[in-house]
Amino acid sequence: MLRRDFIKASTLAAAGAASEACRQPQQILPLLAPDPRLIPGRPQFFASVCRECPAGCGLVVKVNDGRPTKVEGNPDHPVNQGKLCLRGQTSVQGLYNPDRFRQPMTRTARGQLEAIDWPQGMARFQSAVATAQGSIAWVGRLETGTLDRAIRAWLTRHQAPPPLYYEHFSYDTLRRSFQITYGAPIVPIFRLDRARSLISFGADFLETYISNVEYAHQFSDIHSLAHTPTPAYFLAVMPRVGLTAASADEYWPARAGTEYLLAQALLAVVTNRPLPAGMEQCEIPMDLIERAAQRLAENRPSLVLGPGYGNDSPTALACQIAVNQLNDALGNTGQTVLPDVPHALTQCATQAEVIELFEQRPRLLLLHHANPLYHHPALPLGAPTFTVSFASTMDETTQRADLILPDHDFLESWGDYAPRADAPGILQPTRIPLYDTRPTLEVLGEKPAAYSDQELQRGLAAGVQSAAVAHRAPATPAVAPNVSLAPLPAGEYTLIPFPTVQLFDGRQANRSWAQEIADPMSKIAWDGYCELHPETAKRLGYEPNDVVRLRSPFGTAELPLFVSTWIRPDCVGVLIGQGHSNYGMWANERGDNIHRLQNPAPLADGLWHAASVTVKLESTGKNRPLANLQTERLQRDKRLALALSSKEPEPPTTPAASFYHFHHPYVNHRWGMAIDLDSCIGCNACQAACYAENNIAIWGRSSALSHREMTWIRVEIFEGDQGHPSTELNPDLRFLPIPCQQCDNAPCEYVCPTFAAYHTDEGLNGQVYNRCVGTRYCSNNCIYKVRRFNWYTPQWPEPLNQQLNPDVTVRAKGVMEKCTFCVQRITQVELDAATNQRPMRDGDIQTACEQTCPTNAIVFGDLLDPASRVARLAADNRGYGLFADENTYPAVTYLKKKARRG
Amino acid sequence: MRPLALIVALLFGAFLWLYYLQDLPFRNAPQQAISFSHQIHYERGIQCAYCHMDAPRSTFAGMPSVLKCLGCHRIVIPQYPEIQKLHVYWNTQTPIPWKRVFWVPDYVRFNHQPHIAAGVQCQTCHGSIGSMDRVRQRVAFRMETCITCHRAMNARTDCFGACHH
Repeated sequence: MLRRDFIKASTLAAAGAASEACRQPQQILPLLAPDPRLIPGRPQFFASVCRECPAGCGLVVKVNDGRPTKVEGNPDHPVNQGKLCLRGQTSVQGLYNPDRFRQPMTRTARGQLEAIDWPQGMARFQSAVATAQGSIAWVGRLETGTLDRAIRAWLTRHQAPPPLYYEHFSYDTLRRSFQITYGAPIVPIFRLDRARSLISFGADFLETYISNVEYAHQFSDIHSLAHTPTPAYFLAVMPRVGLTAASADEYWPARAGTEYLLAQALLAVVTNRPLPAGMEQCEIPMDLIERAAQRLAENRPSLVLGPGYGNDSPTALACQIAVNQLNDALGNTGQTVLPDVPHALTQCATQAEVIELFEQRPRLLLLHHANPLYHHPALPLGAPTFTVSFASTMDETTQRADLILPDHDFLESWGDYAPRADAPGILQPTRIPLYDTRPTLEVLGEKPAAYSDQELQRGLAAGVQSAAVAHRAPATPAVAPNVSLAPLPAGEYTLIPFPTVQLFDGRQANRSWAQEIADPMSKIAWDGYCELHPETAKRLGYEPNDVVRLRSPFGTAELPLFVSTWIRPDCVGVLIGQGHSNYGMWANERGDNIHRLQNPAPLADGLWHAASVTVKLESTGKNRPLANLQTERLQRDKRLALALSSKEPEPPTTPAASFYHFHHPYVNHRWGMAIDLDSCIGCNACQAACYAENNIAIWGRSSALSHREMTWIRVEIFEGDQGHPSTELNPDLRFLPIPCQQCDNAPCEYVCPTFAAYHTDEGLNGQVYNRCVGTRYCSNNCIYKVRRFNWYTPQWPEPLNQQLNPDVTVRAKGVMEKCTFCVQRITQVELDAATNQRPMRDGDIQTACEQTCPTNAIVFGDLLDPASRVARLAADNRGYGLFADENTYPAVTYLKKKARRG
Repeated sequence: MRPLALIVALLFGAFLWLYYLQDLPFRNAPQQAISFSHQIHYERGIQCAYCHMDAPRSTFAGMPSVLKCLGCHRIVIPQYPEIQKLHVYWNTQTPIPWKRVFWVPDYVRFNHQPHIAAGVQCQTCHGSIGSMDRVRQRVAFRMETCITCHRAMNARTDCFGACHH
């Protein structure tokens, strides 16, 4: 044998040995001592409270071998009743945010941030406190209970004023109006579930207003045909159709700022008084107002909600006062408006107080999960103020801090939070802290008085400091502030800064799910944008995606343009929450911060108003494509999202005759789903739950621009066209969630060359990842376009990989994937039932989307069981199958939306 | 035929034969941190589930905690050198870094729970562990092995619903 040959041969042997070496054993580390609560391989569940917004929903955190992997709503919690919104679902991404601070940091003489250890950090903190001599200000997120008491005690001990709890959505106008009409400046509790008719003058109660999951749940109880035979009537009055107005029965695009006239007019009609002057400014016909007043009076109790953030105009206080009087005149006080039960938001500082505090330049500023400089970019901060931030990640305010003492994430902490007196909740740690962080309570060194047994028995009710307001009806109608509306200057547009259910006040922008999941209305992902009516855009010569410069008296912002018929032609809408400059890898470089356009100072009424400016529009000549994941809103006779109507042609109930179809013989189960379009409000919570449950990859903006979306359940939005034209006065919008339809006669299955897509004996369209070779024939043949292809190897930057669900395969590049009806949950329930030798009951299996849906629009179950909810809904006379005439026999039944009653 | 081609073919064939068909003694029998003998424990009548107690209720059969080992070995041969290692692990509060012997690929969702419920003996898949000093894999985990048994036991053979999801 030649030497060369020997080397070649030995190389082959080495390759063989290497392939064996590739299977190097992993380690198994046992516990040191047994823990009876822990079964390795099975998840543990911990109850906690969501701190993503002040609503304070109850959580159940699923922990797999020490890693929290998913949060779900706590079914026993009075606020959310087991449901959760998209923001709550992303809280695990907050815990595993790759941009979290790893340890304390301090600013060096050269202005750089430098890592230090905790003893050094504490020493610097204590010396800063000592030199401040009582000139200390606390600006932090809303806290109640233990931490609230500790902060107050600490501040008192250092002769400092009480804390300012900073929430950007602080309802200043609402609180001032309650001071005027009810005698106490509170954020009240609203009871939508008791209302028989509902008007919103801008409050986006399905998106961000006070407690959106609770209100969504209550709204579906009174408004959806699935939950009530006599749906309540809902009128939305706002300059732009957001998610809330999209669910309205009637929509008035009143001129921005004239809502107060409409509220006063309704009050005048209800109380038989003369109408206010200047009604013509509203551009709403008088007969509509009379009809609405009549409906309010006939359907009692009713509920009228005031302006929200997007139309918090200079006249908002007048509007809210008129709304309060209207509620009182209709007898809603004590019924649907509870002015003697304050929400915890009552304790927030007003924006004016926060602005004033920054202008006073305290010597020591303590920031606790608050980012006021993002919302108020003009606020002064820097020497002589020494700033200490307890933030978990860098943000626009913390980047100016001198000392950073990072707090635990709320999923790592003990704590308590009560959004209202009857909903106290305790937070408990769900994992060992990821990094060298320390709870702020420990940093302060306060030992708050422990709860007494009595308090614990009362369910920690003392957490909310009750303002103890005795309701007294206003003896004389409170005098409305004397406001008038100036005509819009020529060439200017009213700025409508609209928050969304996904990004809230901007704090959610560093969650990749909140960015990757397209906005429910615009269907745009990964970008900030401004919104103009097509007429306006045409008149100004703008094309979609043109970058427009918005110029207000206070600043400018450049944003790409989204053209939408769902906004008044004299308004320009801007998305709240994008445009971060220093908020981590997901949030940065997504357009300009629109808060620069807002008036930085409070107005004459002493309140800071979000929507008090008009802007000029200028062309920049630039173009930035927006990742719009659904460009077609019209149904074009495709009969997709249907409503009950006599005019709309019925889809064929029986599919066309076919030679090829055979029914699969199901023996044990056929899994099916029913989706009620009348309940669906389009909030995208199902998508976020699906991302969390099923390890779906995040691709980012460039892939979204190529429509390479990965979501397994997309929520499409359509306008009703057949016989129900979507007019500007009355947009007829329908949300259509589309998971895999798990067809009985599935087009994807026939074309798979490797048998990766095939039919299971329980009715699922299986997708065997290890067999898939990525031909994408199945996706081409799927008429619902629900199959998703992995164009790249998915990346989860450390430590986000710790969020992955161990029960679901992580797919690799080149593999097709799609909704599985959460087969891992089905299998686990089947196994547990078999092991315990008990039958499965309807409702035992909950898919992730069904579990979180705030309006219970999704029902999952066994179609073979005639008593199951899904089998009954499949036979409902509102039910239809999507593209049922295509012979696919889908397992998903859609229930038609109710006919519009506008 | 050139001798090189012949040698290569022979070596490749031998490799395939060894790799796929032979239960080699060195294969998948890692040296463990403590030379634990299953045989000794088995011969003294200790049931598998005494230590691997999670098998009936979890995907994972479970490994005994360090304290559980100590529960006996505080009294039983505490001075034996291998048991001394155990004491070091406990005294330094370090989990024993056992090397994994049995595993299935990532795309197989194996779960012990239904197999125990169906009365499958541990030895069916894990081999005669009770006669092994050092554990090694005697039964190859091939899909054929699973399918044959699933068919014989009339268990689910649905690719997606049962294993690959």
